[in-house]
Amino acid sequence: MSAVTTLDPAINLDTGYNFAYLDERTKRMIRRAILKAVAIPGYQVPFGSREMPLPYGWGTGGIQVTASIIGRHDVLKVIDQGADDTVNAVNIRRFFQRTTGVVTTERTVEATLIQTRHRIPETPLQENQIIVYQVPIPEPLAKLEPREAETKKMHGLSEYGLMHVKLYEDIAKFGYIATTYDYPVMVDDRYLMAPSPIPKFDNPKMNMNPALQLFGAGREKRIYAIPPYTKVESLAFDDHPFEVQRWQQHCALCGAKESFLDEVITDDQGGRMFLCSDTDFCQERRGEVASTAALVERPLSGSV
Amino acid sequence: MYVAVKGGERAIANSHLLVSEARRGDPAIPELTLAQIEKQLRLAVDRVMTEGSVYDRELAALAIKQAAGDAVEAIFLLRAYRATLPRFGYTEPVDTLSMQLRRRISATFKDLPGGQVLGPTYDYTQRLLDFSLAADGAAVAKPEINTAMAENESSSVMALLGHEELIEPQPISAGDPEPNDITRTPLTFPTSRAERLQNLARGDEGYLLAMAYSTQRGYANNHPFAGEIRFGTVEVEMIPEELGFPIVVGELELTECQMVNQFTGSKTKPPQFTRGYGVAFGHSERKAMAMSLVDRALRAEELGEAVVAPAQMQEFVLSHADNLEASGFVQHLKLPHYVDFQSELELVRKMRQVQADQVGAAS
Amino acid sequence: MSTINIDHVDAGFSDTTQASQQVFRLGLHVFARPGTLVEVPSDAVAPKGIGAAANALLLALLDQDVSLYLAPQRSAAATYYRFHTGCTLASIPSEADFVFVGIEDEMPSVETLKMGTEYAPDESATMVREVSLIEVGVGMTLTGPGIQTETRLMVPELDTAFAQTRSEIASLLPRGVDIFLTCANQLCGLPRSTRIGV
Repeated sequence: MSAVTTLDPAINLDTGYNFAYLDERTKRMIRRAILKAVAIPGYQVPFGSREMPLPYGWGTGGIQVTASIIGRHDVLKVIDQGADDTVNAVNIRRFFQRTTGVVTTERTVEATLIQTRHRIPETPLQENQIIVYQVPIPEPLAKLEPREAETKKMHGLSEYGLMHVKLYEDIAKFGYIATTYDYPVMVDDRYLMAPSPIPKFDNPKMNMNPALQLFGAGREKRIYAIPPYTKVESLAFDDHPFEVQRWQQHCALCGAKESFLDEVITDDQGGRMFLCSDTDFCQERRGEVASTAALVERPLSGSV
Repeated sequence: MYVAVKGGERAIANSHLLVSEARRGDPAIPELTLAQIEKQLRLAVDRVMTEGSVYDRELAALAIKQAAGDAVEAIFLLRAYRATLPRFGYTEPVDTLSMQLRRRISATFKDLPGGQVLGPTYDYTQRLLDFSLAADGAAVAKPEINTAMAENESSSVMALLGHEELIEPQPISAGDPEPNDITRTPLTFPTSRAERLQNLARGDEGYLLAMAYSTQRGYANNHPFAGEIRFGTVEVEMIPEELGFPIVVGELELTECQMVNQFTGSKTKPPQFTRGYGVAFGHSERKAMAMSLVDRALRAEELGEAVVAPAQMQEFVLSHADNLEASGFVQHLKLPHYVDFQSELELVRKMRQVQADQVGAAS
Repeated sequence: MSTINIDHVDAGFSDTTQASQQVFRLGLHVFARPGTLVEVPSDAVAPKGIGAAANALLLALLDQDVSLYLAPQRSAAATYYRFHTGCTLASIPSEADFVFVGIEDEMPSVETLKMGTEYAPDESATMVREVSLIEVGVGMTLTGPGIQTETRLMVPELDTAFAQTRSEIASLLPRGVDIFLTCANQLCGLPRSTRIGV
């Protein structure tokens, strides 16, 4: 596995914990919830979320999902804001290195399992990859109707008029829909779903994606899923079609024009530059990743 | 020139060292022992055990030490420890009537069988800083009487009221089903009382205190009376499958509050007082009392009262009672959010441009 | 539950943690990609009449929190799963979280199984159905989530009566039953979201 890149110093497997930290019974409960989530695309399955050694709101849902599916032969990538080196990503990657000893990577193409907060990688995902999203608020209607007793009914009846009204009010007030991230989607024409706070730039990537997409909300105790090749539609109106962000600038490091760009303040005189938010994508384009030998042909999704 | 931030791993490791150093403080000062925390900060230990949902004084003391005295952080440590422990079984309900009492008071009667037992409480102290404690080693005078009461010497105030049917019987759900364990199956609304009590028992003391206080200030008036507050030791029993009868597996200290509240009644049903219940590990009267007030407020729907105040709203109260969830989510705002912020920045710039263009076109 | 004579219980996984993960991951793979066939490795000794894949799946997914229905004559298998997973046993299929149906067992009507409610469609049964043959590329057409265009699946036991019942309960979606098809060590998924055509 020498071909796989890693940015962390060696972290040894801590044998004081069960593999992937969770006890086996908790994993089984979560695995059953994941299977139901896959069978009912976009539906939020309640699960007995456990307290994790990281705080609620810091990725506990994603961590529990990852811990329940990860195997010894997985190659794990963890990103936050598209970057592998942000503190939350480093901390979560470290947690899995300690508790599973799996190989980690920064390269999207090498990963079998990607845990993410707030981005979908720019490099298209492949069959047999699984992406796990950390979700703060799984309920797409929560900002409009905070009572779960009510939103449960709306999902049951597929009654989403409230959301359409909200989006239409945006158009009336501003001339366009004023939602830029966590932009609601319809999954398989049935369930309204929160894509997690990814920028709406990433929404189109969810549609008919070859990878399995899993979503974990630890504090809110919900798991949901989008199977591969599933229709995922961002809400829009005929006269106001869905649009994604575009930049006038291009990445100051790699020159990309088609990737999501972060604005970086360079001085206190208003100086700024734009950089790819997906650090792996940017490095690959700059040829900064040592050319890696072809990865060992891996069996199905980390299983043996 | 921008330099990509790298080395997050090293920065995190260094942060761990810094927090350990800050926790230990001046090495010239002797280090706290767990026994000192357990014996001399007993009320902090009690709160951490209650909201940490683990009855283990030594582990709670360790958590307090590791958290440098931050109760919520210590509760977090205990909960995370608890989360993946195997579960051997369920105990029988503890019998608080046969509690070995150290304190028992009632505000509803001047005197009652078993008497008013003040026990160890700050209630009647004058809150003057005791400078004698600033000096080490001051001997503590022995109390005159042993306040521990014999088992079964006291009957409960609720039972006394029950004789005359002046208070509602302990409400039991139809069929008395096994309560749903909220740490295994998440709450769904509306909730059963058993689920609500579990949630409140591990809920944040400060939050419950504020909620309870609001009910006294007109936001859902319960007209409460402290029927009985007891603190003492109860035995914990389990029925092992192979034995078929209960055996005592240990004992624990509990504080229990039975609140007597606003009566109900109708043309056909004579008026009766209603109950609110609170319980906590160790000696935690503020918590148990606050819990009993909130429990009663949350029974509004069941008792046919209008749900008008925050403390009566099940989803509102229960979804925000857990300090781990609340603290985690509030503090997660420290995590980077620059991608979403970038999206909003772009939108606000666009909106400002559109508005400026319109103003320009109009003039 | 009556006591179990462990002298007569065959072996489960030798490494429960790793085997459960691997088997679950294959189950996840076939549920996410209906109509895909995988082979399930397992070192457990399956009860008579239960294939290696079905057995591995049940060993990996059951525990004290769920119930299993087995045909009445499968008492040895009942003891086996009770012992290895701690699951409870359902006396009738309509109460079970997991329903195993062997080749020679009577197939319970799918519409009598737990299908959840429109508000909680996840509170539904998962069926593990052992069949005599699973052939991919021929037979009924499958479309829906997890399938890029369409795929074909031929299973002798899933006859026209089954297809009829399933199309009827499809009108109840999102309520429904999810099915794992197994044939010896082969595993295939048929979640409720898959649309079946002839």
